[in-house]
Amino acid sequence: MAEDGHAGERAHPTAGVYLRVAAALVVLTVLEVGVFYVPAFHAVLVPTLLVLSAAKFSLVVMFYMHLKADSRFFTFLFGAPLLLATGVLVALLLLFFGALTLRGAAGGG
Amino acid sequence: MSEATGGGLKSWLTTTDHKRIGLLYFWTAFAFFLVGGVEALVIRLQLAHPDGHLVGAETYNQLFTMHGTTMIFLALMPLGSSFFNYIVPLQIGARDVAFPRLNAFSYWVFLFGGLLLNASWFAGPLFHAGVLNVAPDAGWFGYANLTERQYSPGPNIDFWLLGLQILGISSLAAGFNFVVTILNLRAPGLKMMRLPTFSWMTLVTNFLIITAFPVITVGLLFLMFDRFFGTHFYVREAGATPVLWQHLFWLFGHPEVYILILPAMGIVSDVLPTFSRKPLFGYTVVVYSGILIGFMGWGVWSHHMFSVGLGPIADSVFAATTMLIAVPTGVKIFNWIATLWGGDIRGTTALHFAVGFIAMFIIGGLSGVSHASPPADLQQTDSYYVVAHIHYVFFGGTIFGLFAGIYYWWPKMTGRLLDETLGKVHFWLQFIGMNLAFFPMHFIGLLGMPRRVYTYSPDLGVSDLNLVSTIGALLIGLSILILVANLWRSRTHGAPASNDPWGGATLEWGIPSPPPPYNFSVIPTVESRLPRWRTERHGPMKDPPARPPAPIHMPGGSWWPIVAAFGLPVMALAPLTHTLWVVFVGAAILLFGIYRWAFEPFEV
Repeated sequence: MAEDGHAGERAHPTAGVYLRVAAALVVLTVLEVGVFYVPAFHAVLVPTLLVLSAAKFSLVVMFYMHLKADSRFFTFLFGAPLLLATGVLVALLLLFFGALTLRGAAGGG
Repeated sequence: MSEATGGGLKSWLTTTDHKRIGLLYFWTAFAFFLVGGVEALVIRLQLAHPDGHLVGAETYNQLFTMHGTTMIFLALMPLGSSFFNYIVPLQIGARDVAFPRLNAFSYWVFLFGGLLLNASWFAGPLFHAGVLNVAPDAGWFGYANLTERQYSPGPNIDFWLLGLQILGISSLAAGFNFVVTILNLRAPGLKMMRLPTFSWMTLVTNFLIITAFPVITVGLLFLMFDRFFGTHFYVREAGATPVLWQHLFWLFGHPEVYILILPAMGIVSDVLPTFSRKPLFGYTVVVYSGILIGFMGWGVWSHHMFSVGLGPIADSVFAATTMLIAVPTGVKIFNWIATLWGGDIRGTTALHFAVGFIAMFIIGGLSGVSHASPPADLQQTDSYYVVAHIHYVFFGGTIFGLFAGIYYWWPKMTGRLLDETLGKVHFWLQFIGMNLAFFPMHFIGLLGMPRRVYTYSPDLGVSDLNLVSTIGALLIGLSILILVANLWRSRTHGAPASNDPWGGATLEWGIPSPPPPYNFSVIPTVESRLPRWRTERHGPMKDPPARPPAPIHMPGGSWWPIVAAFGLPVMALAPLTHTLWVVFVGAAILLFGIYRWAFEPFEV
């Protein structure tokens, strides 16, 4: 954190960068829709879609939410709750489907 | 200077000044606090004797639901917000919050959401309900499937879920505003580890708000779809489970507990050093404990659900995390006591409430630890023991902390001191009243009286304890009347407050009481954690000059926040009345307000 109380900022991207990011997002979206129709991907459809959506998510937060251009402190402020939310969601899923319970571990659901 | 700094109704409706918005939050939240208090008194009068018949079962259901909802969402949270608004910009050396119009929008959305929720007390005839009251009636945590259309066909739950959705928008908008304000608008030299503890806890609280409220928003959205569009998110017959609601609600609900208590902890952490004339003992540890509580608060939600039957592994994990979260809380308590130790203590009313907070919160914390044990919790769940616990935390904790804040900052906010004698009478009546009201509930609960039931049999053997509890509640009511009299009296009879009536260490005490619209004639440069006190390495800072050396431009007021906010309750009327076109009218008002807001030359 800067001494004067303001978070340090780096140069923001140009309009051209934003347009290229938009193009990349369009391509990734087309891929997301496309893999659904390719039989070879059916076995790994869920991980493929997760990877593609994670890539889109990263592009949006890095460029359109300015985290790449802003202070690293903001990346921490965004990333820490994100990690926390991921942990909470995983715990919730495990709880919800009974995997954490003895009943779940025994396969009884 | 803007129109918002003049007098008259228009200046208040259009104000974007954080101080005025802070006062609006204060008076509105205080009014809702009185409403919630009257609801509580009716509940207690009903339970004063066995087989009570002051109200019937349905009205009783509405009373306890609205009491909880009102106190949490319309009184305690916004009372905290009134201090965020008024005090935080002053503590960080800023002229206003980061987004002044968004701040006004937050307030108006809060007001309209609160009015919509409470309109349910009188809206029965509009829905041909055959009764006057159609207030929400499924408890403040609105468990599915009680809230499904099948079991609650009237508009009661619709008011609740739509009101809470609107209030959530207000909280989120304010949350983002305060996070940005504290991170970006600090005065030169005011590094994070020089922030006053109240501002630190405000930051943590608002992080919790912007992370926790989306969870209840999702839960309420599912409920809205179930009730209005025939989906089955919580309908067991359709293969879903109502337990999903419990998970979503408590994922929000437990961080909400810390949203309510952390501001009070921040206030107490500022009040104790001032009236002990000592720096806060272990400032860094207190701050990190607050941050740790913010994180750990996300890992304990299922302790509200031990009776669901999650299984021994899940129960053990959540029992352990719940016991662990008591550690940073205990750390804070020891630091507060160490702050008082050996201090030059002045027994002001604010200090009374701060010390009362510590004592009462310890009791609430200890009964909380007893819930952390699943076998014990199974005996306590849904009994009055839980009611005792929640009131020691929220009344003994949050309310005592907030009242310490009122007595501490009222001179800064109004330029008038509150009467100390009346203040101490208020404190002792409230202190005795709350212990009479809530301590017997531990026994009432363990003796087997369930909560949320409108009456009880004399055979249960809890009649005398219930009568004591009701007498305590009436004492609390009397004490609040004394506070109201004190606040009212201070308008004309309160002694004028100097810049710094208490000898405070933080920036707000270096400027006039009440502060001018621009707050600081010159933005201060901060060199120490206690800028207005002499420390080992720093002398006290020079206060800003009484008159600004150059004209200071402040932004004007704006109509568009209130216009945009008004669109939301109009939109809510559409599902309430099952009239589609109304939603388009509401959306048009909202969008028109936002559009004009976006293109308004606000800085001119």
